[in-house]
Order: sequence, then C-alpha cells, then structure tokens
Amino acid sequence: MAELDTSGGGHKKGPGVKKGKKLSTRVDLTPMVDLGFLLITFFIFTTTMSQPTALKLFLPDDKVTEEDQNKAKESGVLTILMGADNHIYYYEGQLKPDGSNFLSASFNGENSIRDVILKKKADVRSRSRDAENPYKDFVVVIKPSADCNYKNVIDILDEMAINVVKKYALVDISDGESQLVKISDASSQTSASN
Amino acid sequence: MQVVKDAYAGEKMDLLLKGDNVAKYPAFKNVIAAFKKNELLKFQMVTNPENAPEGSELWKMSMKGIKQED
Repeated sequence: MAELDTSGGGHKKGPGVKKGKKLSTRVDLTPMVDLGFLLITFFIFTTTMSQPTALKLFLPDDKVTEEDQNKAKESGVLTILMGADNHIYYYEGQLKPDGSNFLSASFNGENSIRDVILKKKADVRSRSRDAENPYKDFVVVIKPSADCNYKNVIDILDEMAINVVKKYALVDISDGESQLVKISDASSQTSASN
Repeated sequence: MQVVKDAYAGEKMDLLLKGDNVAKYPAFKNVIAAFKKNELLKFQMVTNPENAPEGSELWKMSMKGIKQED
C-alpha cells in the first residue's frame, strides 16, 4: 500500500517547540485491485475466441456410379484454369476447338476473376426460370495446372466462399488444356519482358 | 494415414492440411489423393484468410449474421 512519511524528521525537538498534528496520506488500494479483477472477469466473459483460420473442403466420393454423378448445364459452367506465376484463365461452357473462348483474368486488379464469377452468376440468374433457386445451374470447375502453387488453389477456393458459389469442383486438367495454359503462360511472360 | 484412422476409430477427427504458399499443386494433389484413398473426405486447409472484401456477397451475409452453409 502507498504511504507517505509525514513525520517531519530533521526538525529539532525540544521544549517550547509546538508539535504539529501528524496527518496520514495513506492510500488504500484494495478497491482498485477489486476493480482490476472485475475488469479481467468482464473481458474474459465478453471476448470471443479467435476463429480457426482454416478452409473446409469436402471431397466427393469417387466410387459413385455414373447415374449418381451430377450433370451440369453447359450454359451454367465456368471453367477456371490456373497456370504458373499467378496466371489465371477461364472459359464459359465448353472449350472451343480454336480456343477463342479461352480468356485470361487476374486474381486482383483489372479483369479480376471475382468480376468474371459475378458476371457469370448474373448471367445464370437472368436465364434461370427457377425463382427459388436461380443459381441452381451455376457450376464452377477449377482446374489447377502442375505449375500453379498451393496459394493459387487457396485463393480460388476463397473466391468461391467470397462470391457464395454453392457448386464447384476441383478437377484434373486435361492434356490439351495444360498445353494451352503453358503456351499462354509463355506468351504472357514474353509480353511482360518486352 | 491408415494408422491414424485406426487410432481415432469411432472418434471425431479433424484433419488439417497446411501448405507452403509456394508449394506446387502436385504435392497438394498427392496429399488429397492419399486422403481419398483412405476415405478421409472431410478436411480443412489451414490458410491465413483476409476478411471478406467489403461489398461482396459473403460480407453482406456476415453483416446480416447469416452463416455460410458447409
């Protein structure tokens, strides 16, 4: 506890010297301790624990028969392909033989994949006849190439969560698509270096 | 994985997959393939996600207090 010495030591005591009344400046800190504990208890009860920073992924069972497999409407499918150095590509429906619908996007900035997803969602919604579930036909197929990294996969899965995409699938890339991604990666690297 | 599966038989098991940002996708794919082989189809990927961007659908849902379904 805090206490000040107010004895006035150093003065000579003697006959005829009037002694002043000693005043105690002792401060009782007990209520402060109580308040401290009260605050600690308050913060313990009101603070929420930090949420685990993990992304849930439920994989479908491969052993289903062909009848059990989900069929998707071509008009509602958006295929996203990921290449090296954060390059991202997409096409709507099926890939045309001449590759004319094979387009590039980015994770952020101009022509971002988020804008592409939102545009496709709006397109599917405008064409849907089901008022209760207008995004029923909307499916995103994610095809990571061998050159893309773990961060890209997490980023694209995060985009699915951010844009509330209910149906998406992580699918192996075909040889033709892989070649197309490699060529596009190489051409974008060349144009970047020039 | 089989040993872990046997050890946790009948109990709830949480699987976490933690990868380096620059790790190539095939390594991640091989782990997923191993999970699938052992019929471990539910797992979590440990990341460091940012908050939902303002104005996005997820942000609007969180503002309304709606939780996204699994």
